[in-house]
Amino acid sequence: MRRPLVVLALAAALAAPLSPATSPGGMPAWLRTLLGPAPLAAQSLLATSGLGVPTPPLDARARALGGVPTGLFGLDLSLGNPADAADVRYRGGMASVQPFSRSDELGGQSASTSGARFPLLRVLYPTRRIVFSLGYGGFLDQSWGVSSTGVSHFGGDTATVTDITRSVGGISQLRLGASYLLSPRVALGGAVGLYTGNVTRDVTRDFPDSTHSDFLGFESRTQWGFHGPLASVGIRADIGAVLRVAGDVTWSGKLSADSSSGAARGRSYSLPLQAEAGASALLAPSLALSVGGTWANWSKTTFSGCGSLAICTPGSAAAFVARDTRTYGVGLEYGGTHAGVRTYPFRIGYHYAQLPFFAPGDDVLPTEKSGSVGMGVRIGGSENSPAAQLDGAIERGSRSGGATPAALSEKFWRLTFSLAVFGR
Amino acid sequence: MIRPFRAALVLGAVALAAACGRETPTAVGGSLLTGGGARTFELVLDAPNFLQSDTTLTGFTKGASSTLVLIVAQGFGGQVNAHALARFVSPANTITVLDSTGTSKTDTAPSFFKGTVVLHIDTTAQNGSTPVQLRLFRTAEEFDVNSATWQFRVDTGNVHTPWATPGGTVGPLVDTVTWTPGQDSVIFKVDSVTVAQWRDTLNLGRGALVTGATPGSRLRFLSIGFNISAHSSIKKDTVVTSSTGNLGSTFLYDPPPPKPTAGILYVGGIPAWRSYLTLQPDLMTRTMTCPASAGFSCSFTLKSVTVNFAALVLQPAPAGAWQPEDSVRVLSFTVDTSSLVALSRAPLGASLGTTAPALLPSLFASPPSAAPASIPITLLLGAMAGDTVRTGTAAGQSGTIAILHNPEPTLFGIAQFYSRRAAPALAPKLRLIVTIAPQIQLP
Repeated sequence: MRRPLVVLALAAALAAPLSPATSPGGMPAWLRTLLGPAPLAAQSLLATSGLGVPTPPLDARARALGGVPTGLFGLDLSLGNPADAADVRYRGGMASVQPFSRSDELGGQSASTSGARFPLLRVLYPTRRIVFSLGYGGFLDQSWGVSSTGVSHFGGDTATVTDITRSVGGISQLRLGASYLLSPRVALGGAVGLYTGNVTRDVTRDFPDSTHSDFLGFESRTQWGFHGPLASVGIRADIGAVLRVAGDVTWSGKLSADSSSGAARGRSYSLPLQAEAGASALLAPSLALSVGGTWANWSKTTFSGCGSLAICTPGSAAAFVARDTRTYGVGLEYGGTHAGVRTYPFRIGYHYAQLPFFAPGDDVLPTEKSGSVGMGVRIGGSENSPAAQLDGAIERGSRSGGATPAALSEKFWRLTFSLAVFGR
Repeated sequence: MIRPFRAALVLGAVALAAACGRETPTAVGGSLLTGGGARTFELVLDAPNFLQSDTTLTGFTKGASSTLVLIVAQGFGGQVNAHALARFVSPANTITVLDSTGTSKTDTAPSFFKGTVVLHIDTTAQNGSTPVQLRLFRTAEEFDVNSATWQFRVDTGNVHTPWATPGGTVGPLVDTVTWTPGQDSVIFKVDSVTVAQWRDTLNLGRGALVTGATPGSRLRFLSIGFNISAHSSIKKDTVVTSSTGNLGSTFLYDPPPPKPTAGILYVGGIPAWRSYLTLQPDLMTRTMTCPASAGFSCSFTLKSVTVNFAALVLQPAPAGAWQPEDSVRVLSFTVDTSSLVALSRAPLGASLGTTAPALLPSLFASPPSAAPASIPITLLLGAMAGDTVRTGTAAGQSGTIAILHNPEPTLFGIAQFYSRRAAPALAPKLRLIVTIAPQIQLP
C-alpha cells in the first residue's frame, strides 16, 4: 500500500504548486491539491472555442495504440471504462505526465510553444471480489495564451502596445469506481464521480517603449469554478483466447460554472452522453491489434452570445456551436521482447478525433489526427497485474479548424509517460 | 533488484514532471478571440471638469544667500538689476616655501602683493549672446553677507540697516573685465591695496561687489573665488599663490518679483514658489463617456478602469524680466493634508513625476508658447482609485498636487503657468490615457 501512495503523493505534491492558486467553486483548494492537478497547459489554440478541447484520460499505453480507450489486453488503467481494472490483484497507483510542443500557423503567421499536463492519476484497491479505484483525469482543457504587439495612437502620441490574453485551467473528472469479474471472461464496472475544475482568464496590456516607461500596465482577471455530476457503467468480455471487446457509457449532469472574482457571471452547460467501445485481437502469440472509438453528443451543449472576450449583449447570436463528435483509433502491440522478469512491449498507432466546438462561420471543422509509437517496461507479475509498469508514447499529429482562408493549422509533438506501481 | 528500479522509475517520473513549465503565449491566435479586447484611448479634461482649486505660495527657501547660484544683471528685461556680493576668508599670514637646501620652511613674513577674483560662469544657463562688461568694486560699508538685500546691508531679526546706496555701497573700482559668450570664467585683477583691505579682519566692511555694466544683460555664475599671491621673505624669487575660500556670497536684486496675478501660477524663483492644484473629489467616481477614439460606445468611472498615464498639462506664460535663466525641471508631489495644517506647511508625500525633457527658458518668453508642459501624476490617480500600494500613504488620498522646481534653490527666474482662472484654452488640462476592457465572460 505504501508504494502506490508514494507515487500518488509525489505526483500530487509536485503538481500542487503548479495548480491555479484559488479554488473558486466546487472542490475546495486543499482537496484539489490533495487529489491532484487540473490541466495546466493547453495543447491547442482550438481551446479558445466553446468549453475547450477534450482531453481524454488515457494512459501512455492507450496513447501509443492510437487512443483506443478500452478493450486492450492486459493492464489498462485509462479512466474511461470502469470494468477494465477488474484484473488488478494488488494495490497500486499510477500517474501520467504529458509534455508537448506545438507550432501554430494562422493567417500566414506562425508561432511555437510548449508545456506539460498531467492527464491521469489513479489509485486501485482490490478486495476479494471487487477492485475499487479512485481516479482523477482530464476532460476539457481551457488553457491557452495569445500575445500580440501593435501600435496605438492616443491624440498626438503613438505607443507600442503588447497584449497578452491568457486562459488557465480546465475541467477534470474525479471518478470512484468499482470493477467486478463476473466470470473469468466477463467483467463489469461502475463509477460515479464529479466534474471539477476552474479557469482564470487574464487580459494584460503593457507599453514596452522606453519613451512610455512611465505608463502603467493594464490587467483584468475573471475566474470561475466548475462542478457537475457524472456516472458511468462498463463491460468487458473475452471471446475465446484471442478476442476482447469492451464498452462503456458515461452520463453527465449539468456543468455549473460559478463566478468567483471580477465581474464573472455564472453559467451552466449541458454535457454530452459519452460512449466508448474497443476491441483487441491476438494476431500472433505476441502481436495484438486494437481498435476503438468514442462518441459524444456535444450538440446538446449550447452557448450564449459571448465570445472569448466579447461584451455580452442579450439576444445576440451564439459565439460558438457544438457538434456531436466521434474519435477512432487503431494500434498494434508487440509484446515478445523479454529480459528476465521484464517485458518490453512495442506499440504503434493512429488516432483521429473530431473536436466539438467551433464558431458558426467556420467551414473547416476542428479535427485532430496523430500517429504514435511507444514502448513499455513491465516488471514482474502478470500481464494483467504486474509489479510495476512504465510506458511511454510519442505522438506526432496535427489539428485544424476555423474559417478559410484563415483557418488555424497546428502541428504537435506529444509525449506521454505513465508509471504504475503495485504492492505485494 | 526490483525495488531500486521502482524507486528510480518514481524519481525519474517526478524529475521529468518537475522540468515541465508553464506554456508561453503564442504570437498567433489573436483572431481566434472573438469579440473585443482591451481598448486604450486618450481623454483630455478641461479645468472645470477636474480642477477644484489652484494657488501659488512662496517662502520655501530663505533668500538669495541660500541659492546655489549667483546672478549679475543690469536692466534685464527693462527691470531687473542684480549685484553679486562676497566676503573672502582672510588668508593666513604665513606661507610655506622650499629654502635653498630644498627644505620646506614656514615664512612668517610674506609680502602679499596681488590677487585675482574668479567668477565661474554657468555655461548651461541662458546668459545671452552678446558680450557683457563686468565691474569689481570694494564694498564701503559693513554688511551681513547672509541677510543682505538690495535695500538693507543687514536684514535679520529686528535689525534692518539700509545701504547708503541701494544695491550695495561701493568703494574704489578694482577691475573691469568683459565676458564673451562661450567663456566659462572671468578673472578680475586685484591690486595690493585691495588685497590688504580684504586681509584686514578688523575691517567689517571688507567685501567684493560685482556689477554688470551692459544694459539688458543677465549672467548666472556658479561661484566666486579669491586667489592671493605673496612674495617669500625667505626666498626672494618665490611667489606663492593660494585660494582663500569664501565666508559667504549672495546677490542683491531689485525689484522683488511681483506677486502672481489671478490667472498665473509660479514655480521657482526666490524665495521659492510652489503651486498647488487640487482635484475635484468626485473625479474618480463620476461617470464619463468613452470618446469616439475608443472604437465603441461605453461609459466608465476612472475608478473602474486602469489609468495608464495621467498628466497635468500646463501652458507656460510669458515671464518678461523674470523669465527663467536656466532650464526648468518641474517636479510633482502628493501633499498630505490630513493634519489640517496650512497648505504652506503641509508635508509633501510621494514624488509623482517630472517634466521630461526639462522646460527651456524660451518657453516662458513672449508670446505664449505653443508647447505646453506635461507633468506626470499617474501614481496619484492610482492611489485615489484605492491602489494605495502605489503611493502607500494618505498623501495619495488628498487629491492635492504640489509642483515645484527641482532642485529648488537653483532658479532665480520664475516659471509661470496659466491657472484655472485663465482663458479656457490656456487653463490647465488633465490628460489621461485609459484602458478599458469588456467584461470577460464564459460563452
